[in-house]
Amino acid sequence: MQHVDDALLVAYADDALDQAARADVEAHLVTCAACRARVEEERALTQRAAAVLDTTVPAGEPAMPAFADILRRSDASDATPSGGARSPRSRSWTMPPLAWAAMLVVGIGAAYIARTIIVSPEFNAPMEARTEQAADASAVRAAPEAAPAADATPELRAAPDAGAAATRAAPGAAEAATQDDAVADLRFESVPVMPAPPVPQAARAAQEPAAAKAAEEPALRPEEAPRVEPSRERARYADMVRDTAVAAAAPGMPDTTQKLALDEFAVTAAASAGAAVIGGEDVAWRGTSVAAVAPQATRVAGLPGAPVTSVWLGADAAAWRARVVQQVGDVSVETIEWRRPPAAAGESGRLGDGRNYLFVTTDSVMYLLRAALPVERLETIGRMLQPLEP
Amino acid sequence: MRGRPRGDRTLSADWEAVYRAIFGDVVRYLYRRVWDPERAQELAQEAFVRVLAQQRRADAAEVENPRALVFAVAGNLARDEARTVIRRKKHLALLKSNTEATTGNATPDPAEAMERDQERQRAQDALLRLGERDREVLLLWDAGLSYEEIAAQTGLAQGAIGTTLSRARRRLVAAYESMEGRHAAR
Repeated sequence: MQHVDDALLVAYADDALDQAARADVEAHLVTCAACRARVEEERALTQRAAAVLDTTVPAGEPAMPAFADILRRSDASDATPSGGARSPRSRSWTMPPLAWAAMLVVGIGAAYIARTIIVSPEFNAPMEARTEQAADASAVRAAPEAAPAADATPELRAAPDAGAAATRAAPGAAEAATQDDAVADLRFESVPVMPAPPVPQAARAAQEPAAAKAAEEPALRPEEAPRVEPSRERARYADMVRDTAVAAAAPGMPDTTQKLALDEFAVTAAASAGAAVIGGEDVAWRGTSVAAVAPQATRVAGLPGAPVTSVWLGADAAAWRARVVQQVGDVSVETIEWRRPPAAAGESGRLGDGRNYLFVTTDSVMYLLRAALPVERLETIGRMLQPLEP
Repeated sequence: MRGRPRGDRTLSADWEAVYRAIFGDVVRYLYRRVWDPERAQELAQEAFVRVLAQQRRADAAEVENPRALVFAVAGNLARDEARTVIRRKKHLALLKSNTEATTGNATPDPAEAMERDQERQRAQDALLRLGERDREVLLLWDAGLSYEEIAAQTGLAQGAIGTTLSRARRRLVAAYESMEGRHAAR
């Protein structure tokens, strides 16, 4: 017998083979020290993985309602839809108070959604100035559709950090990168730095149709797709950018949307094929253009009614997932689905570059506003954003 | 172990045994899908309620594998659950009430509790880094399903389960350890 192949070996280590197959493997193992070592290795790995998995759940056994209760409810649900049924005994998972405190933190980590609103500093700048910048931006990338992406991406790859990459990518992005740095200065140390927002270009490009194509953000390049290797450490920003599906406004494309399982490879493949992709909790949508995914994007993480200019899907799901960039009047609004709380509600202050920031809490989400505006002004904007919520 | 509807609205006693045997596994599986202990509990009950309601119909087909059926229903419930923005709002409301509820609780050793929280967060983050399919296969295996049952539920070939599992384990451990390293460095 040849060496045992991987699938068989894992199944053997998991004790998932039928008797005949197991006997075959064992016959080989008797004579092959290498395969015996592989089995041991596989079992050790299984134990370590099980230990990590165990760590994710609260200690103790969940309280189990009497079977009679379940039976009774199943009887009742014959007549009525069972969707909303709640058992009075379902209120707790039996555990010590300490564990409850721990659960609280897990709950925060898993469910926390903060929405970051970036009020772009050109908020108050005259329209002409912005159009001029748009021309600059398009000059930097003056090239047919595919070229800017091809140009910008190697730069990102070579760049030592986010700020440098963005600076080289485009003037507008440089300033956005500064914003990200500023946020990092707040208290985001546990959250990886966000890729530089592509928004300003896309938004301005919309005002100048000729520049639209040139200002398109680079989508994930096809040749990068094989580089997505989930087991690899992704702490570095450059890696995150590479693994991030990016979509930008692509006028004129037919609008069709397709639902994908939020499988890393499926999403990456869709993005590398030039499609817009937006991720949610368990599913992602793939469309031929931003317009196609915009309704889903808005539902997942955005402000209804505001035009979506670009959509990002985070590869580092532990820290952030969906990132939707929209225009609300002159304000560039960025909605990011965070997985960890970035700061305390109501906190405000001044950033190193003279801009102010403010955390605004509504009944369901937290916003971060940043702009070269007085805090009182930010508070007004925060109040204005509330009615936009779903 | 099979649920056989006998006559009208009767169930084989086996379902109670199934319930006792796997309820905890179903809750843990659901917890790792929805990350909310209360909701995981509710959904686990809901899964059994639905399966039993269906089984009590006189015309229900005999179930070959009750456990697999319960997990299939639980998986669907978790998917539905994840779909809505509403859930996030609920989480935040829950979070708020939990904060209020736990303020009064004296914790014997806050440092130890915090350490555990961090580890749990790290493990959760590591799990969330896995691809959807890898994670699902791993969770189902951990819940006690066989290769065959996992294949039936995920639509993967049975021959692919072993390699998928092995890859998922390796990635989970690597992600967890890398985060441990980063954590220590900070």
